[in-house]
Amino acid sequence: MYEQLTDDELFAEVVRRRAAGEPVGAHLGSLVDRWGRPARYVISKIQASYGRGSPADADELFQDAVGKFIDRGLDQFRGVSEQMPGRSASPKTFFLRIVKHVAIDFYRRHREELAAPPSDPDDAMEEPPSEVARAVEAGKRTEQRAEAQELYWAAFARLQQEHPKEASAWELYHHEDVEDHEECARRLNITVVNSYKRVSRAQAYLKLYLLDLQRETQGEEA
Amino acid sequence: MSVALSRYSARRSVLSSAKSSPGEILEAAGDFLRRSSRVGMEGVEDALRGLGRPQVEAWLKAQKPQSLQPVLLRAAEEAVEVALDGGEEAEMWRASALEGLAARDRAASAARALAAWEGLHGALQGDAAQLRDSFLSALGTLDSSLRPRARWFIPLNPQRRQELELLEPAEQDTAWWFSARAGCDDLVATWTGRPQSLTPHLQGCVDCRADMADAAPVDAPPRRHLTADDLWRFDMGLMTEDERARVDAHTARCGECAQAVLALGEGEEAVEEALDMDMEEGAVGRAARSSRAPVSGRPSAARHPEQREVLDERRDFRVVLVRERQRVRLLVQPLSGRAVTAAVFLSPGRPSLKPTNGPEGLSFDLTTASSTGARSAHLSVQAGSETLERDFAF
Repeated sequence: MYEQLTDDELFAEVVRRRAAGEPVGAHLGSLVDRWGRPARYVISKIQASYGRGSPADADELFQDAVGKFIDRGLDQFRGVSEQMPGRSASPKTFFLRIVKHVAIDFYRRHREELAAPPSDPDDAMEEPPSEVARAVEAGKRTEQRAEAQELYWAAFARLQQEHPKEASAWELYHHEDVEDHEECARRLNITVVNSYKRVSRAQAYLKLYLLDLQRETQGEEA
Repeated sequence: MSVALSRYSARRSVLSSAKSSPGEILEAAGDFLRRSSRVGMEGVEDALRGLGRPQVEAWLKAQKPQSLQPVLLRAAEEAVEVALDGGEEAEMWRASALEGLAARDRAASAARALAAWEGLHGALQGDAAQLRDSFLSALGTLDSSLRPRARWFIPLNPQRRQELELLEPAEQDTAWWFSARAGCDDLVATWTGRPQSLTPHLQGCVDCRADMADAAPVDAPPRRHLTADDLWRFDMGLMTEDERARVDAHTARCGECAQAVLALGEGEEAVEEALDMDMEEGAVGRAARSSRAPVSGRPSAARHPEQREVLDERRDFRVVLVRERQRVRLLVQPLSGRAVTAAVFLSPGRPSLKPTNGPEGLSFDLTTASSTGARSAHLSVQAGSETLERDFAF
């Protein structure tokens, strides 16, 4: 239907119609259909990079990327094109970069879930009891770790609220891997002594907040 | 005589002063009742007998024990500042924090004196009895929520212990603001670091051991991984120099995020390849179909300029620096079929960059390093007994 239009022309029409509040589905559908094959190629390379994935994933990821392109991509494309001329030479290149990011995000999030699924669902039933117990224990540990992480970040959020300067120093020193008081001092525009002091104070308050939160959680569970 | 003991002794005048309010009399009477063995009971009964029912009921109506919560929470912060500040202001924090504890203690004294007053005058009835129950219940609720935070008051322990010694044994446990964690002084040192060795108290105290174990995540805090947005901004070149340095520092330690950055590079290569493939197909298609769609006019060589520089060549391998439009990579190409291993270090003591194994050999992506300002690296290659150690610029 739109064969006579180039990608850029079709994209420009999508942008125009969107700005005018007109429906863009058919134009956009035709546009991303053209990009399906290269998109799947990019996805396959990300799958190879992570050593995981299936054709079914590729379909899902393609759809996600189209969704992102519609939700944010159309505006972002303009922004990136203006800020970084040449970085996203064409809407197609930009779309393929969205595909790349959607795929990377997917395989990062699913790293553990996708690890070694049983080839036969019945296999899981045939695991000896010791293996099942081990798996249950491992599951519990994972859950406990997740809860501990959640409480840690809740404690950090409280530190940010009540002692923002200490929180900034802690964030930089530990969460952002700087681990150097001279560099922290430079970035925060404070003295090195102050950097030591803020990180040390942050540590004490974080421990106290974390312990309070843990006791509150235990109190709620009891 | 301790400072605390002389302070309570001095309060005896409150009992007989005509200027004292009913609340002040109840608090002072309770102070003596709860410390009777140490400060005596002189004047307490007379003072309580002198308080009329309407006065006590009016006092009860005015009570707001919940207002003690912010007072105690502020005292907790101030107490911690005593340990963390360590400077001239520490004494100011200590005095203010102790005043907060004293406020809670006065409420306990008033409650104790009220019970004694009822013993002398007969129990409160009706609305007054309800007010009394609400007052006592609110104090109980306050204690339940704040007692688990008693560790915050540990920096005040020398003064808390003095107060504790004055209280009747039956009062001591209830007065958690003085008694809870009153022997746990050693725990404070663990708040700002991990002690080299555990004191006998830290080894033996169940509460301190639990606190140390539960606070351990702070000693090894989790790092912030690169978010999807971070990766997007990194890929689009929208990060500041400091942000790129952070990416570099993080990926040097975090395999998961290093893999994501690596995948960005591989994905970018795939994007370029996909564009090339489409263009070649488009050219073929147009020749066959004479399509009206204009050609984008993007010759591969022009879009994809690549410069190769052979840095070193041995019998078993060749080292090539490959510069493309947006990428720099180092290739270690096996030449003889012998297994070749290689590592690239951006700075001493840091782990090697992660190579990818492709048809041309081992490839080290230097794009991230280059974008964060790195200009040279150290290369180590081994093939059989032959080794190569050298620095190279990129």
